[in-house]
Amino acid sequence: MKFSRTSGLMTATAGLALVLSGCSAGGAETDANGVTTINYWSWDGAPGEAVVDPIIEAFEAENPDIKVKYTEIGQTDFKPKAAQSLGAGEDIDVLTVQPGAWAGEVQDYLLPVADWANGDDLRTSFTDTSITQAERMFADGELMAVPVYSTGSAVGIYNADILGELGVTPPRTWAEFKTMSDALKAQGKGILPVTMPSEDWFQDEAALTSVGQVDPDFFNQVRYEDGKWDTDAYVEGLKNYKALFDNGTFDTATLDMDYGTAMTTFDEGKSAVAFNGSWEAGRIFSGNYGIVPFPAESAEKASLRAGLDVMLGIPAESTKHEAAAKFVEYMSVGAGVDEWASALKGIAAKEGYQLPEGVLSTDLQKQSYQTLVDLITEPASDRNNLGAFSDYVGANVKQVLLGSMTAEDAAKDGQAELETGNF
Amino acid sequence: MTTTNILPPTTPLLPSARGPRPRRRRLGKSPVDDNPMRMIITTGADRWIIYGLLIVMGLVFAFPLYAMVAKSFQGFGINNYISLVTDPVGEVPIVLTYVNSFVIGLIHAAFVVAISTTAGYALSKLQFRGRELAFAGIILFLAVPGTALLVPVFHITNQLDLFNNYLGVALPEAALTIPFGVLLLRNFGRNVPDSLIEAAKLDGASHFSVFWHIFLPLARPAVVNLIVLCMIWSLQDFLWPSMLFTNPDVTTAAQAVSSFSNQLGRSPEDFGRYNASLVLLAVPAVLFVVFGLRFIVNGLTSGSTKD
Amino acid sequence: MSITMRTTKKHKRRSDWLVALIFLSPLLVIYAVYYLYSIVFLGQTSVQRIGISLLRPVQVGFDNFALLFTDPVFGRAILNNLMYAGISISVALTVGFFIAVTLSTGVRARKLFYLVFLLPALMPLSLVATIFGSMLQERFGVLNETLRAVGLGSLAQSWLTTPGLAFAAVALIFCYLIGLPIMYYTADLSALPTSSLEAALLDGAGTFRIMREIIYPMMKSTHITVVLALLLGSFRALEQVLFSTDGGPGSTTEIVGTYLYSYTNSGGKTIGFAAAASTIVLVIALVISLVQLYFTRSRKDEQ
Repeated sequence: MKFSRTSGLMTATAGLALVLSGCSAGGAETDANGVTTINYWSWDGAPGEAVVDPIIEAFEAENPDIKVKYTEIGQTDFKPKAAQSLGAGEDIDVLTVQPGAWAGEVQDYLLPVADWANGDDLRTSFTDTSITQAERMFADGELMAVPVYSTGSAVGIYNADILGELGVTPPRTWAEFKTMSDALKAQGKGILPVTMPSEDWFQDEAALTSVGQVDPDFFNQVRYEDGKWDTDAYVEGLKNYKALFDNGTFDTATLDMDYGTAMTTFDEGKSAVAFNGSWEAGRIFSGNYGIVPFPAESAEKASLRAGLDVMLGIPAESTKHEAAAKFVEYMSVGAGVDEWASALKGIAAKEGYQLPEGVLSTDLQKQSYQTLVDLITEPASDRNNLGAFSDYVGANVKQVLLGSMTAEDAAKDGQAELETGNF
Repeated sequence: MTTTNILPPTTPLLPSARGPRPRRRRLGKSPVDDNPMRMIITTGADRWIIYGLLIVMGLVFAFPLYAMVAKSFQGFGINNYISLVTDPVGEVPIVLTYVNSFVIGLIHAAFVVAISTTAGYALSKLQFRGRELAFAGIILFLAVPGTALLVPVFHITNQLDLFNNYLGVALPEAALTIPFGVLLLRNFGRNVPDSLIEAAKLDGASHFSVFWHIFLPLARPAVVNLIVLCMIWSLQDFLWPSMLFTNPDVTTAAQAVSSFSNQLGRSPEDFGRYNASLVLLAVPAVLFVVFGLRFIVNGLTSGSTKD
Repeated sequence: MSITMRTTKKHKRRSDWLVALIFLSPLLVIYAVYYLYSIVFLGQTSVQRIGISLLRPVQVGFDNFALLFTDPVFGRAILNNLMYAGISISVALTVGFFIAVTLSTGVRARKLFYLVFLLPALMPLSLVATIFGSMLQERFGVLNETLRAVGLGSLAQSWLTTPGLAFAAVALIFCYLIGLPIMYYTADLSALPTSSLEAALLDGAGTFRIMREIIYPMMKSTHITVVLALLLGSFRALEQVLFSTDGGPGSTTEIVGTYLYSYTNSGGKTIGFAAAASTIVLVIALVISLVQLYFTRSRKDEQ
């Protein structure tokens, strides 16, 4: 009986107090000293907190009247959450815009670049290609966000020590890869030839990289020209990819490794090559690592899909457009560029950009960087993904690799899913 | 609660086939002579078989827990834990995630208790036409999965401006628990003798005063049961926080499992820390079993056998 | 019956109406917002092609429903839900019951046993499923590593990528969470009348016969609670799959929860489709509740 009133009341009061304290977590925007605080939202790899923090620090030192509050959200959560938050009128002043279907989804919330205080100048600071690519992301071709950098996928990062011990050269073709895998097996140390994220979207990336070697136009046709998914080229590319597993070049035992496990395995020296997007290329600074393309029948055929990976936009509802535009400029063409470009997060969209002297210190690093630049500047096709569709077909790719679906069926199923118009 | 695989006991709905019961005994203290269940093991051989089976099943159940702990020491051993304390994941100390879950649980429980007791009283102790229909209409939502309400609740939360607010998550949690709460309290109310209410009414008490002074105090065991279950479900709820929270300051424990994996897990150091953070996220459950088990089992019994 | 009494009764009934309305008003408010409005909103959205920002809707009539009914994965998800419910129910009714009974007999180290059996059900489910996902990884998962370490390497499997094994793995997660059924049994066991136990003992019945033939039938109402709870709960499940297999390989382990969750969070124009699927799931949930109401009601009438 004592419970109902005393402790009930106490519980309620305690609850209320905590609710109130939870509500006040927001924070003031502009303070008495005239300092404007802008909210900057991005996902964890674009370009990631470790890189962003020093940029913000330098920017704030240069612009004492602006403070930047950075919110980082995991990549998988970013798309729904940022779209929701924009819809909810959350205070966001600078937003990382992911190219692809998502850009179209949020474009109505963005302020056209032409309306930015520095919009017109900014526009001319980027390469024409990247501006064209960026415009293509938006329904009516109006530039709603500026391009920042491009990445490509998939590329391999190899452990030069492991290869050195085996006495094999960095593998670029199917045959060379097979040689390496066989050598590893013979060595008997249990080192895996390849690890890579088994997430559906990445398996789609890997399969499309292989398809791109057969038909470089495949993806652009589908994406921009209403092309078909179930083409012979797709089936052939997928079969080529599967063959790598069937003949023991790759190991199906790695097909349940998530992104983190795959990369950790490589870092711990338990795999010779890690395939991923070029956004992981910064690893070449953390060990004796180099970069190779995804294997092809012959070295000339090696390619990847590349495209803008990161754009920056300013929500129309933001009340701090000017400060936001300043920060975007700093980040995309200003002093911020060196910071993320040196971490090899991507290839800058800025016209005529060169890496600062001394970033690449060893021959391996220089050579790897060149490989990367060559691949990304001449991609087989755009990397302009369709989000959920990528997950859908990626799941089928895994089915094919594991032998529970034929490449033909996967192609047909993908085509059927594409036709539903859901994506 | 939206996602727990176990719904609350519906026993109170069902008639009791049992005769008068002996006084209930507390779990955790049952001397031989006090525990009738003790009698059922008739031979020493049976005892060994039982121990054998329990130990085998215990090992099976413990293996994932062992896997969790083993993984958390991989790489840098105890340093995985130390660095978690010195350098919280994504600026979110794990303790804060418990606090967030706990606060949401309290609000969740407060709504459920307030609404279920009043509705339970109305549906069991007030006479009005359409009462049974109203009850059926309320209970109809007992099985609604939270995932089916994702789209509208997102929109509602937006309209109410409750993103990143404890209330924004506690309210939909409560909406999903209320059908059960009403069921529990209404069945409880039906077992409160009408004569008690009538007597008070004759003394001139209003329904509000009967509710407050007679019904609520009597309902205490059912209410306690409800509070405890609400707390567990809020601790387990992943769905609503993951949809409605973006601010790391309000991250809940269940949500942290995924947001930590987003923020960590890209380098070996992070991978170790991530696995260590998983172990720490299980700590409240351990404390719960060690210190609160008796409490919850008592709550369940009081709730489900008071018929 | 005097006239005065009748009028009081009448009077009472009328005043109860108002009072009832007041007592029910908090519930009505929250139901109006979170159920009524939700259903209307789902109905509206389910005939649109629209993204999560809820802008630029395109009316598509019943296209979303047509797509849904031709999507084999949706049917598969519903079927999987029922199968997982069935499996966890049978485990709860046997293993769960056995654990609860034996632990109530005052075995040694009871607290430790309770800890091990109940802990999984009290941890965040996202955590449990994550542990299973990592534990079952083929190459560096603790299960296969342990098997290899004790010389049983031949038993190591690709748990998460072989369809049958992945299905079993998720079923295992559902079974791993039978803590609450154990608690229901434990609670009701402590209130078991002792007389029939004593009678059975006098008859010379053995331990396991008492469990099977005396105690088990006596716990009928608890069994029904457990069955209903697990059946209803399976449609609310999400994390069990989301954090272990994420529905894969292919759609082998897809359940309703992950199906709806992934279409809601796709970032594309799939919200209308998700709303259509939600509508169907909602209808299924309401039907289950109706059936449950019907059964519990008819039982009451028997008495």
